[in-house]
Amino acid sequence: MSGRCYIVANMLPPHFGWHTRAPSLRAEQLAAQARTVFDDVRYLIFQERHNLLKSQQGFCVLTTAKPDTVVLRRDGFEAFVNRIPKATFVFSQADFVDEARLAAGAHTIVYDILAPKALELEVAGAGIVDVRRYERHHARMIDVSARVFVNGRKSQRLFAGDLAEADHCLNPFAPSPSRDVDTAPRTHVMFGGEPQRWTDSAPMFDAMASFLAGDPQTPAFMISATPTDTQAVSRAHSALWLLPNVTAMWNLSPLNYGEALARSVGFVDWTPLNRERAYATSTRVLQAVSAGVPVLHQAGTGLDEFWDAFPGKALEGPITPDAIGAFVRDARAGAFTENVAKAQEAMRLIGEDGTVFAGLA
Amino acid sequence: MPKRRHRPPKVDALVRPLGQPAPARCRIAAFGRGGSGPDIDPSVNWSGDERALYDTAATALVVTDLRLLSDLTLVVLSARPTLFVINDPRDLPHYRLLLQRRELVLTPADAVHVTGAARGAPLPAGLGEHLVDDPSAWVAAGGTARSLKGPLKAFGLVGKSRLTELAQRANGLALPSVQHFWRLIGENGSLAQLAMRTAAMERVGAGGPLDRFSPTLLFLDPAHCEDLRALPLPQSVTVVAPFTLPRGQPLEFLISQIKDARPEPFHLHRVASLMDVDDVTLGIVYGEFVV
Repeated sequence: MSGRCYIVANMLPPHFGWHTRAPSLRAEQLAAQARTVFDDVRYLIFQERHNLLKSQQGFCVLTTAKPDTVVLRRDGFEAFVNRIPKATFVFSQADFVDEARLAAGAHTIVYDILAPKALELEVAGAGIVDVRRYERHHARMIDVSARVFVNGRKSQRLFAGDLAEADHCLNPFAPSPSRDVDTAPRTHVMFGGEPQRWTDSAPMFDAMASFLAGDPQTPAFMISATPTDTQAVSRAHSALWLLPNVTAMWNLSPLNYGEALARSVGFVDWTPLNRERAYATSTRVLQAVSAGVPVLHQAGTGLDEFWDAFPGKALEGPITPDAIGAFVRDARAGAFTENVAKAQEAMRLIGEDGTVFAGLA
Repeated sequence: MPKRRHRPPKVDALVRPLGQPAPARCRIAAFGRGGSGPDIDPSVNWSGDERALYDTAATALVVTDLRLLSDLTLVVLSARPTLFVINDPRDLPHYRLLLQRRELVLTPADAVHVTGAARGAPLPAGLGEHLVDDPSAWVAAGGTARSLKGPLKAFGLVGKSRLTELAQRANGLALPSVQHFWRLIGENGSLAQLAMRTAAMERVGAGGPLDRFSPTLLFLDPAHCEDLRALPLPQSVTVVAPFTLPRGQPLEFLISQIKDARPEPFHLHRVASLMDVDDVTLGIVYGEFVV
């Protein structure tokens, strides 16, 4: 082993503590994989991003004391890359293309395609200028990179044309489960997550509201921010909030989220398919599977080709209260236990597999 | 002719020395649907008209069928010690909503009694120490009862309207907006809602399905700093510690007591000094053990 690797993180990795509500699980996975090849693996976070994340009191007071973390101003990046010995920089997504270009002269660049972001922008209603700009960034990232990671076979096929000349490999997203979580009886159904502008959670919230109102014996964790009155989920959210069997939570720390998953018998995540969803590998779904929780998900997403057998139920057609009820009954009866265990093991192996970094140190 | 200074009417006795018996002539106004309510005490005169709660001579209020009260009347509850009697499970979601939005803030002067059909129903997490099995002692004290022990008893010298005022000041103090799981260290949990937005938080260490979640926030009775030593802290925790400080005693002593109880670094966020009562300063320390 030799060399140093910098994982450029856009969010803080989960070990930063409860401050980190949407932790950089991909950065954590890449760091774990890189550690099998490199002597020294560090997270690099740009100061401007870090300042945005630490807007709350007491947030990140010890960041600079963490030996595996470098916080750097973006305009100081050029001096930084010229000063340090040859290293490898991993960039997830194509947001830091200028920095990647600056580093490419003296260092090795790895471009990690986590999701087809141009599609996300398009479906979210971004202007054509922004979409084209992202596509240019994507192409430039491929140009300057020594290797490209792609999350999932579907995305690999989508980008096959772009990657024809590039050294690329499959590196599926495989978050590791939260550490230090006690085992507990699995009682609750968990659902929610953060709705993005390119997804529509309303059908799932409506179905969950009917299901949980009709089955008061089933307790549930609703992980959701309080929607504004104009959001489509607002009515179902209010109904769910008032149900005595629903615990509404939001903004959980990585450890508390792990603890909630440890008490969950099933995880429900469903949004209508669109051009972007066809390639989506939902973080919360992967997190649930890595914590041993079977999932109810829509068929046709990027997760279809992730495992030999789906760890839960991939639902064809729309979500209904009956479908949720059947899934919860099957999950309680242990119908998915074997597939979930296999998927967990597969994800654990990916997370420890350093061969994606072979030859870069 | 000399100008007469306008003096606001005195709605609430601010300070009553500890140990002094309750005023002989206490008057309790009560609201219940149809002018009746559960049989909690013969001295409670139920009225079906919520205007009865506006009686300026009333020293304390008893309220049931909370869902029927109009929003404007909730303001009256913030100025008088109130016993909430919950006998209909339909009131519970309303109650939870009002607590979470801090339309209602339970102070050490208030109590909650669950009876009738609501008994056994899942209760909002914020009720905790305010629950009383037998409300007759609260009713007999005519609103002067305070559920506080030890040095923090001084918070009980303050009238209900001033307690509500303290709660409003605590609203403005920034707590991290993570989903909090709070744990009581020591006693006097009835101050918790006042000092922090507990109703939007989940309580741990007091039973229920979330009992064993790791806390993000400790509500610390400073007389029990020693209890911090044995507490497992797998993640950073915010510490909220209300304090009473006799004149001349430096605050650093209290802060170092908290600091010294744990090996983790303690990061002081802020000290809020709320008011002085009888040469005692009431305040709250906010800080964090960084793990």
